[in-house]
Amino acid sequence: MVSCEHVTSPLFTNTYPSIYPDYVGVTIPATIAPLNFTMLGDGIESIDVVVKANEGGELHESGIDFSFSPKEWRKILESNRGDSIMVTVCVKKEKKWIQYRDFPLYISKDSIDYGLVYRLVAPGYEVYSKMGIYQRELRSYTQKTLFENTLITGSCVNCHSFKKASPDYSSLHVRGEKGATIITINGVPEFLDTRTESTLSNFVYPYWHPSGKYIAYSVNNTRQAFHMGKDERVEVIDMASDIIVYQPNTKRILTNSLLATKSFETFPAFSADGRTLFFCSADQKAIPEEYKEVKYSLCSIAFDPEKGTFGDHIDTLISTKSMNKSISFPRPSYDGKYLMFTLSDYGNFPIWHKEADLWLFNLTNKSLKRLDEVNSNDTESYHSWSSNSRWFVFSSRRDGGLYTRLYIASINEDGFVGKPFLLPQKEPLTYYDESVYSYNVPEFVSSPVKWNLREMENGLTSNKRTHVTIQK
Amino acid sequence: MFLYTSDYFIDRISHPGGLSDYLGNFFIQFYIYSWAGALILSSLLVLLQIMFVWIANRMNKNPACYPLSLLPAIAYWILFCDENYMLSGLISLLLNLFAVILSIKISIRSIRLISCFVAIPILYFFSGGCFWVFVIFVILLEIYYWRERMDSRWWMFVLTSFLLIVFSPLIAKCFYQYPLERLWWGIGFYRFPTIPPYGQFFVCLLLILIPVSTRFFPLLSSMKKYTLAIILQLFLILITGTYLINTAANWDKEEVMGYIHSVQMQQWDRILVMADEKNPTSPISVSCLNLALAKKSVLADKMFSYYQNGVEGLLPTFERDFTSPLSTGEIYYHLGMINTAQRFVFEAMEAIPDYQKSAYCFKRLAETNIINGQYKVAGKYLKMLKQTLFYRSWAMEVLAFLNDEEKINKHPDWGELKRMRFKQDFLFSANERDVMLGLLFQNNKSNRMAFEYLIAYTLLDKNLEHFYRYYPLGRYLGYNHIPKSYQEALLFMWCQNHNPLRERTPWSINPKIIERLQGYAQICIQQKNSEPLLRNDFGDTYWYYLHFRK
Repeated sequence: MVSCEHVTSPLFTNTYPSIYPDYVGVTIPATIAPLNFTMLGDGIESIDVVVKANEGGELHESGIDFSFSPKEWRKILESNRGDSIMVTVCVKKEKKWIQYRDFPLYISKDSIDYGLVYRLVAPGYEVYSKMGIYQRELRSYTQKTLFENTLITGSCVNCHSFKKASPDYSSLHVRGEKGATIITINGVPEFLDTRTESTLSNFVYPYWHPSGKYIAYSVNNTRQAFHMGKDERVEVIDMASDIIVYQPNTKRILTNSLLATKSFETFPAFSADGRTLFFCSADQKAIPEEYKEVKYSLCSIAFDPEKGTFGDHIDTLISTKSMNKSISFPRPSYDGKYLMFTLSDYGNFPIWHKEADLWLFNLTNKSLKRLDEVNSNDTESYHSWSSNSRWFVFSSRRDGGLYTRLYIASINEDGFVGKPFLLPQKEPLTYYDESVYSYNVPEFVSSPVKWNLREMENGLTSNKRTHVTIQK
Repeated sequence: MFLYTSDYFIDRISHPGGLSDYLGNFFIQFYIYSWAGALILSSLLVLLQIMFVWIANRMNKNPACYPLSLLPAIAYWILFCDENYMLSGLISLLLNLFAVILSIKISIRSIRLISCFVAIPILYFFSGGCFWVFVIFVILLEIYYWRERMDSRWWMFVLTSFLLIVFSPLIAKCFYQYPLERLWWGIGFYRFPTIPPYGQFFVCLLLILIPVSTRFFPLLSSMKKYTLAIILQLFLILITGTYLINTAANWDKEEVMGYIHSVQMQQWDRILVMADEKNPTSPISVSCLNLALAKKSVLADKMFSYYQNGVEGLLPTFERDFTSPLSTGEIYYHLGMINTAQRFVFEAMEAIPDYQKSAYCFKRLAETNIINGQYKVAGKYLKMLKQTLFYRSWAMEVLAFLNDEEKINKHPDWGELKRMRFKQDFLFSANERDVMLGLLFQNNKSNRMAFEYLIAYTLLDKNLEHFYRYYPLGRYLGYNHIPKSYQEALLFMWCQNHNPLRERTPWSINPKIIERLQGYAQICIQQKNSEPLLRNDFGDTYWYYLHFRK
């Protein structure tokens, strides 16, 4: 055990310090921004923190509002890739120092992508205020606005998606009077009107094919409902839903009768090799009476990317009949090993389900595992993989119960999942306390997104849209 | 919601016009007291007039035109009759006039001109869309006050200034995600972002045109003419101003806002006084009145003494705006439908068109979360309210309640509402509000307000079958008499098959009510066009509502 410098005669305690965010024993990438934290509790007069490593020396910070030097932090993390560093926290209370049990930070040898792209929006019901799509660089605290709804007054933006974390391929829905689906390939945006006479709605949940030649979307007719019980708030219920695949170079929609049945089909996702389309499916029920009986299974259908055709049958990979639960957001890892999904009691909007947890399906041996390493008593919902499939980011309501926050967890080549860490902020307690936004749809990006805002604004305000057609 | 934090300050000022918005919000927090709001508005308008006179006098001192200096302030007063004109617009104008005054203090021409170049983009960033007023005044003052020659330096100054006017918003466009026209007009000057603040532009024009045009007015040397000119101008301004202000004010909207404010402040007696002075008619005002009647335990007796406009005047349907869900949310809150109250107040806040937040909404959200046991969420709201001026002490007090079930249960409002709220979960159904009220009452049979709203709903819906079915549910609620509206409905139903003169009703009906029904029936039978007569004599009865209100 090391001792805090400048700390005289501390009283040792064998408990870990109560810090916010809880970074005790988390696994982090070497390029993450400094994990500044705050000691929780009253009567704290001073804090002294020492970070010691086998390589690269040590960091020492003190004061109530200390923050690590980014330069030194980066140096110590880079020098200890694949190893761990120990953090010693001493706290001064009533003029006496208390030294807590040292805690480790594990530094993964696996790299992480450049950053995250997410939506920030108030966790409301039907009405929305200011919102936007933002990009966060992971090695610093810098957040850049990619698209804010102040640009197109009254608009709503959602469901951004990138091809395997590549910002060169993106899909974004802008809803409202001047709405469009904006598909940007290599910096060239296209503004789509995605309504057709034979599909249920505009495009909704997107997922890029690994080749970049297709994007699978769900088309949903949904309705919102509001709970009257104290622990529940909102329900979004499918009244009808299908899956289509859009081909950007032909502007055509590929459909298949197996993906447009009377049952609900939603949340499409292509496999790593692009030859399977995963999705969720549930039997149709009387709505709203039987909304709690709508339970989605994990299904798949073969897809031929060369011909743009589908297989002739649906495989049910995980049937909810056996689990009596509902699957949402199937997201295959890009290395083809796993498929992560959210499991909740019913329905397809788990963000409002406190019981919602993340599960991992091993695509090789078909085993299923609840991710206890990352789950909490509150909601875990949307998640996505880093481009090397060694990290995943997910949204959780564990911190406060309403405002969704982002957590990042590691998964090594043997499938071992590390303790997740909250997205770092310079002053995390103040930042998260004062933020009135929820983090939505976090997606990794391997480099900065370069949307041409002027082009986007002009394209949206011009009302010129490319109309998509159904492939006959 | 104005927060006394550095993050809030940085967030608010970090866009063109941000300082005006920040100062505007600072003053608006005092609007919680209507007298303070009036004092702030009038003080700022007086300041506008004083600054304007000071500048105008430097351009042209014609004392006979002094009353004209009132025009910009009066014009702004007229604009403020539209509650969507934000205070930040006026503050932006004051900041620019202040900058003009400062520029006049610089006597060395070159320093003055250079400092103006520097000031233009700075003024644009801090004050927003009115910054061009500064440029125009500085140019005019160069001619009229400093009496500089219109030489090449002057033309260079004018040209550069206009380029700065043109380019400041264009450069801002590279950094801020707003439509260019909003960067021109000013981002926070009008509440609805799609509507440019044309009125503000008109006031700016007045500010410039008045001192320029009065240069062409003759100087009056005779005291008599001078006095006459002053009196005439004041008279015209008074008459026209009064007329325009009166015309610009939307009194119906003022009434609705008055009711909503009183509901928020829980001034039930004030609402009844307001209704006695002028019977409200809009669904929102009527719903506020009905809530006040319920809170004073006289809803069942007196509701038909006032205008009723159906179930929408009892529980208005949700609208996606920032006013009506506030008062409707209050009704649900007092009824004990906490989730619905929470939804309405959250939606009202999210619907504020200029993306502001409301301290009042935060307060109510903190309360609904405390009642629902969501202490972490409540704590978040309370911590933010701690950073405000008027809710700080309340938030500090309430923080002590978090996680203390016993203390919350003993709280006069929250404890009661916790007992009233739904114990079972189900989905809200806007088309079955009566069913939900019934379930709410079944959930806690001492919830008298839920019972009275349920019965009021059936009466207003003219569904006497449901009324008759639900009416007996109230027998254990401790009424010392059958409320008047219930007696009227019961008697009316009874009379369909019985003669009240010959048969005794199964309920204790006041003989006066029986007598009145006879009178009512007589007029109905005898008069062909009975409505006006009945309105006069029986407008406060359920029978009149049943037959004549749509």
